[in-house]
Amino acid sequence: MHLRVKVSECAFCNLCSLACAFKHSGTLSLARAAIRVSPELPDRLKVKVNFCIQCSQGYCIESCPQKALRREEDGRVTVEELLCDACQGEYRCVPACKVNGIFRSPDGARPVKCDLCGGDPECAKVCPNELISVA
Amino acid sequence: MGYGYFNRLLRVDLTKKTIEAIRLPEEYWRKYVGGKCLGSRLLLDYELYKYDPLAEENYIFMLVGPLTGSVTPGVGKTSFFSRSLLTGGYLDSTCGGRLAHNLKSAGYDGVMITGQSEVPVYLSITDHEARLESAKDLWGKGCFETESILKSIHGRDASTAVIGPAGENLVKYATVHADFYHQAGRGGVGALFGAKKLKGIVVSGGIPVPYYRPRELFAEGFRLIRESRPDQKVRFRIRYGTMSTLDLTQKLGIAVVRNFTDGVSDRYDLDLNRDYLKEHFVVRDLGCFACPVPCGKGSEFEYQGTTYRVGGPEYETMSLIGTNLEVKAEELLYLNWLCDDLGIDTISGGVTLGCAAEAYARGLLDDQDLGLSLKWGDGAGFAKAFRAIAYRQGVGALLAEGSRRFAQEIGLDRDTAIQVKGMEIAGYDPRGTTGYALEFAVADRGGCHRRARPIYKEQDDDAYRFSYEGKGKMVKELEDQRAFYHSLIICDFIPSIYPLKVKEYAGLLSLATGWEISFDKAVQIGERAMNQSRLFNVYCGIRRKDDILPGRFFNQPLPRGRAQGQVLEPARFQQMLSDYYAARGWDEDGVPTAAKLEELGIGPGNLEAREA
Repeated sequence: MHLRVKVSECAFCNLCSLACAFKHSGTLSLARAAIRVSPELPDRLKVKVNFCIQCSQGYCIESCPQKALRREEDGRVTVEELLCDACQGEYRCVPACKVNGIFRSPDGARPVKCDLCGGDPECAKVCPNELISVA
Repeated sequence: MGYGYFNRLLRVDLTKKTIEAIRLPEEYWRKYVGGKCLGSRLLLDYELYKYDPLAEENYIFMLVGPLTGSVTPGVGKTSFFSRSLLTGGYLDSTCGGRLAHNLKSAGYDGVMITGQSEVPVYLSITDHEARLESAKDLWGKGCFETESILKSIHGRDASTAVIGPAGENLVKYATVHADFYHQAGRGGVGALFGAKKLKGIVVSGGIPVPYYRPRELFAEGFRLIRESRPDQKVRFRIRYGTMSTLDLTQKLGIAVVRNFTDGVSDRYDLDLNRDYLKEHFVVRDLGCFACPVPCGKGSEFEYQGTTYRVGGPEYETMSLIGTNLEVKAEELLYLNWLCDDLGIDTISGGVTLGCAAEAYARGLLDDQDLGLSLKWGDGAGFAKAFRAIAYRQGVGALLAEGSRRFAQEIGLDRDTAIQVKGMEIAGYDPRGTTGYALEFAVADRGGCHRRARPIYKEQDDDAYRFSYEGKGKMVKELEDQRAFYHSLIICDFIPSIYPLKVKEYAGLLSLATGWEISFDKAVQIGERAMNQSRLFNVYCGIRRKDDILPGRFFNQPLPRGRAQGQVLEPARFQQMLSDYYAARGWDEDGVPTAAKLEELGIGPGNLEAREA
C-alpha cells in the first residue's frame, strides 16, 4: 500500500502538505509535512512532489541502527517512536532514501514520513484536482 | 497581545536605511482588522494625501490579515496601499501566490516602506528579521529573471515580489510581480517601488500564528475544502479559471473590442475562447498558496521560434489585450508574457494601446508620429509598443503615462481614453450593465471591476441590467461586503462559489481572533474601509465631478449584440449616482457626511495614536 500522486496536474497549492501537517501535528508547519511540493519555475512548468513511496527496497529500514523502522503487513514502512532516537540528530534514514521521501523533524524527534494515515490519507481528501490516491 | 496577529509591522526607511518593528494600538486590530480597512486607515494616519506619490514621504503599505496563515479558503492574498501615481488618489492593489503566507509566517502583519534609496536595493525578510541587500546586479532585469535569481539565493520556498523595467522607469501602471505568476497589477504600485529604488521583497518564515482556537479554525477550513470539492461551481472554476468570463461578456454583448466601440468580438469564435486556449496552450493549473480552487492557468506556447511559459491568460488580459486589440491567440499569450516580464498591467496597458490604436486607425496618428505601427490585430506592433512603454522610448514615454494623459498630450478626443480618475476600466462595457457603470464611476482606485462585481446580480435579467433603479443601494452593499473580504484578506472569487459569505467568514474570524463579530459588525468593517478610502480621495480633491465615465458611453450606442442600441443616459446616470451617495450617507458632492464618519468612528489623520 502506498500513495499515488498524479504530479503532472499538480497546481502546487500545498494543501496536501498542510493537511498532512495538521493531521500529524495539529499545526500548519510545512516542516511537519510528509508530502512536499516543489515547483520548478519558470524555465519549466513542472512540479516535484516528494513523499515516501513505501518502496520494496526499504533503504531507510536498512539504514536504521535502532531498528525503529519496520515494514507492516500491508506494505507500509512505519517508525516506532519509542525505538527511534533520530540517530542523535544524524537521521541516517534521511540520506538513505533514494526518493527524498523521509524528512528530518524540526524538533529533533522521529523523522517525518508518510504513514498513509493508516490507509485513509488526509492529503487525498483535500487535493483540489483529486490527484492523490492509495494504490 | 491579541490573537490572529503579531502586532508587528516592519517599518523600512530607505533614505535612512533603518528597519524597525513597530506596534499599533491594540484597539486598531479590532476596529480596522487588516487589509483594506487597516490600509485605508494608515493612509489617513500618515497623511499621505499631503505628499506627491513620488515624494520620499510617500509610504507603500504591504498588509495581510488575521486569517492569513490559516487554511481558510481564499486566504492567499497580499494587498499594497499607497497614494497612486496613476490617479493621484487612493490605491490598493492585491496579488496572490505565497507572499501572504510567508509574510505572516515570518512574524509580521505587514511592511511599511518609506524614503528613497540612492542605489537599487531589495528587502529580505525572514523570521522576525529583515535586511536591505544590494540590487545593483538585478536592476534592469525582467521580472522572471529577477525572481529566479532571488529564489536561487534565498531558497525555493522563499516568496518573491519584484518589479521589472516598467517599474524602474516609473510607468504609471507598472506591476509588482510575485511568485512568477501573480501580480499586484493595478494602479502602478510597481512605479512606487521604482521611485524608491526598491527592486523587490523576498520573504520566508516558519513562525506559527497565535490564533485564538487554531485547531478549530484549521479543522473548519479543511472541512469546507473537503465538502465543497465536488461542487459543480468549484469544478467549473478550476477547469476554466477566469477564461470563461469571456463567454459571459460575449453573450451579454459587453465584451471589449477596438477600444470599446463594439460589444461583440469576432475573434471569440476563432481562437480567443476558453476551449481553444485550453486545448492548445494550457498545460496545468496554478494555484495560490492553500487555495482549494486553483483558477490560475499555466500555458506554454511558441512565438517566433521560441518556447515561452506564462501564467494565464486571465480574462482581463484576454479582453483588454486580446479581443480589444484583436490579436491572435499566440500573440495574446506572447503579449501576456511580455507584460509580465516587463512589469506592465495588462488592463491599463491594453486600454492605453487601444486608445492609441483607435487614433491610428482613424488616421489621427501615423507611423511617423508614433515611431511604430499600431494596426488592430498587429501583435508585433503592440509588442514593440509595450517595450517602448517599459523603457519610455519615443512615444512610449507618453503611453507610459496612461490613456488620459496620452490623449490629452497628443490632442485626441478625451473620450477615447477609457478611464476613470486616470485608471483604465476593465473588461465589461458599462453600456450593457448599469451596475458596472456605477461601480467603475465610483471605484476608489479608478476604473476597477473588483469593488462590487454587480454583473453576478444582473447577468440573468436584461431589463434589470439596463435599468438604473436600485443600483445605488446594490453597488453600495456589494462594495461593503467585498471591502470586508478585502480586510481579512480573502480572495473575492471564493464567496461566489463557496458556501462562505460574510456571516461564515465572520465566524472564522472569531475563531482566529476570539472577537465576537456579528454580520452587521462585519459589514460595518467593510463600510468603514469604503468611507476611509473615500475620505482619502476627498482629501486628494476627488468629488462627484470625478465619478464619471468617458463620454463614449453616453453618446455612442453599442452597435450589435444583446446590448445593441444601449447607451447610458446622462440624467439617469446622475440620478443613480445620487442614489448611491444617499445610500452611502454622503452629500450630493460625494463627500462623506460628518454624521456618517461619526457613526463609523472615522477621524481625520490620527498621528498620535498610530504607534503604541
